[in-house]
Amino acid sequence: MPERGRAASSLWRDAWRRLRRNRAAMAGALVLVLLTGIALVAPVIAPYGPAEQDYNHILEGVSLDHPFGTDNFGRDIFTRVIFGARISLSVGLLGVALGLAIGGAVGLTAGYWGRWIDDVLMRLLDVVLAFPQLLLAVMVITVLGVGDLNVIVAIGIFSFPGFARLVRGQILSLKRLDFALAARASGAGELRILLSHLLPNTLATILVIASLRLGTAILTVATLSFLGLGIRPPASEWGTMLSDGRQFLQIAPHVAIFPGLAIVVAVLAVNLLGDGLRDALDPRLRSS
Amino acid sequence: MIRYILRRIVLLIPLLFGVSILIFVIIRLIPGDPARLALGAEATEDQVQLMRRQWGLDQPLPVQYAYWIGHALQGDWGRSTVSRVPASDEIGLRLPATLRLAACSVLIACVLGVGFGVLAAVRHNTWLDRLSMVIALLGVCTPSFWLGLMLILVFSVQLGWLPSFGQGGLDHLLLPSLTLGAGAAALIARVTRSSLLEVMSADYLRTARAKGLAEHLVVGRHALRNALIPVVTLLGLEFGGLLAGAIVTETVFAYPGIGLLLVNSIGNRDFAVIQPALLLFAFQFVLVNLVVDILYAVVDPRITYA
Repeated sequence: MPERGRAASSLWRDAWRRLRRNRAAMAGALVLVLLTGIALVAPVIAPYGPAEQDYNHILEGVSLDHPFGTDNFGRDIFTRVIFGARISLSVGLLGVALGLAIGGAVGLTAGYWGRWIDDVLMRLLDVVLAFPQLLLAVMVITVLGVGDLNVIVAIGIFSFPGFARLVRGQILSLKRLDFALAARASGAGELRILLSHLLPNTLATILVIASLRLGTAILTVATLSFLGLGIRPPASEWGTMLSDGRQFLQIAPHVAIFPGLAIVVAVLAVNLLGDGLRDALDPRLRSS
Repeated sequence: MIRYILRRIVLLIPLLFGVSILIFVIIRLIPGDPARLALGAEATEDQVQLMRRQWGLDQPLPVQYAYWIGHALQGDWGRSTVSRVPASDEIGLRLPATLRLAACSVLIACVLGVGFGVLAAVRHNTWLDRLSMVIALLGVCTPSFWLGLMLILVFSVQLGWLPSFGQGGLDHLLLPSLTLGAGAAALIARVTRSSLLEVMSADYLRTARAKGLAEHLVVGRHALRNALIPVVTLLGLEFGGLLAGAIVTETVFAYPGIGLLLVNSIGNRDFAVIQPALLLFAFQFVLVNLVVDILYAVVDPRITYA
């Protein structure tokens, strides 16, 4: 038992060493930590309230009082972008976590028990995969309606087929390896083999893919909201702000510039870190 | 080869069957009576009952599905609750516009993607390489609707060169296609570069150079041809997603295609139009993936298609 513990920690320690040397990934991680921090203490650091209207300062440009300007209700865009980080990060993370939970369960079941269960689950996945991702999210919203929780479900639904395939593939190859056979020979039960022997070995790959999926999730939350199919106004979601701001593009372009920049920065940070994790944890994934 | 293609096409039938069941189930999951939803709030109870019988909504679910798919296969999707025009006409009218947009976007994605990718690979480790890859990375991380808004801001509002919305000549297509194709272009550039770099060190390229072939011929005639195989796959995968991306681009530019129609129909809860639109998007996605798989087998003889 101590043998296994040591090997596992050295994999993560090696990965951490590789990750630390990757400057782009560390920059991404730093930005992500900053964004998370900003999101957590948003009410403390934001100079105004996210819904605070000021009709004496409507659609004003960049100034010292309003670093990103104000919108058509006189709300401070800097404040709203800060609160937007809250929504985007939490909804994105929860959505990916939901997708991972569903996909992980489906993938484990299909990969471990195989046979007809595998066949049925994989054919069902084919049907889900016949829809482009964005369309799947749009379909979920069509049924459930708009709102934070439903967007999380939508992200979960469109992410789960990818996770299911990934976990299934991993389990398929792992369960044939010697250590799984040894566990079985020593009398471990099915669930014990699955959860305490096979699952930990898939964690590195899952972490890599999940981090890359988070970027897509954040983009999709914003996209759905922009289409009016996500998080509704007056919430200070980045996509919603862009959707509101687009009609003032001619007279007040800053209304549409800053929320968009926030999305790019967040997604870029997540992707840089994800790429770094991939190189550090599982260089084989690089080609895919 | 013919057998492989035939087999793939036959396998398509159960898949499309599954897709249609999924769409049917999803529409039935929506709270409310479909007949009432289709007729709108102002219809009388008698009209609703009549429609329930006509559509077989008083029958068990499998029978309902048979009714539904039977009508659908004959092109009868009912009428839009908003415009009262048959849903098939609503779709048919807008399909050419979306296909035009998609075709232009693919063209732009190919030209920009392969262009920047080759440039970066040939000038490997120079500032040109790095600049191209930074642009490509930003392209992957930028939401298409924001890119669209920024293009409108620069080229329509500030410079006044191009129209910002609607449909018309080529000038109406340029900004939407650029918006829609940018993400795919960025991915293609990255893949082209890495694939070309991999090929560049191959023995047969050393031979080509050794016999005194000019560098642009070495790259153009020998390297690129092999390097483009993964690009073809990626392009196919992207093309499928690209049509879904039209939902966003068409909304930004108020471009009258299927995507804008779908978004508006969802907003209006116009299910007669939502169903065929969803089915169409899924159908093209499956079809494009099939064509890519077949093309892949044709381009790369190493792939076995037993």
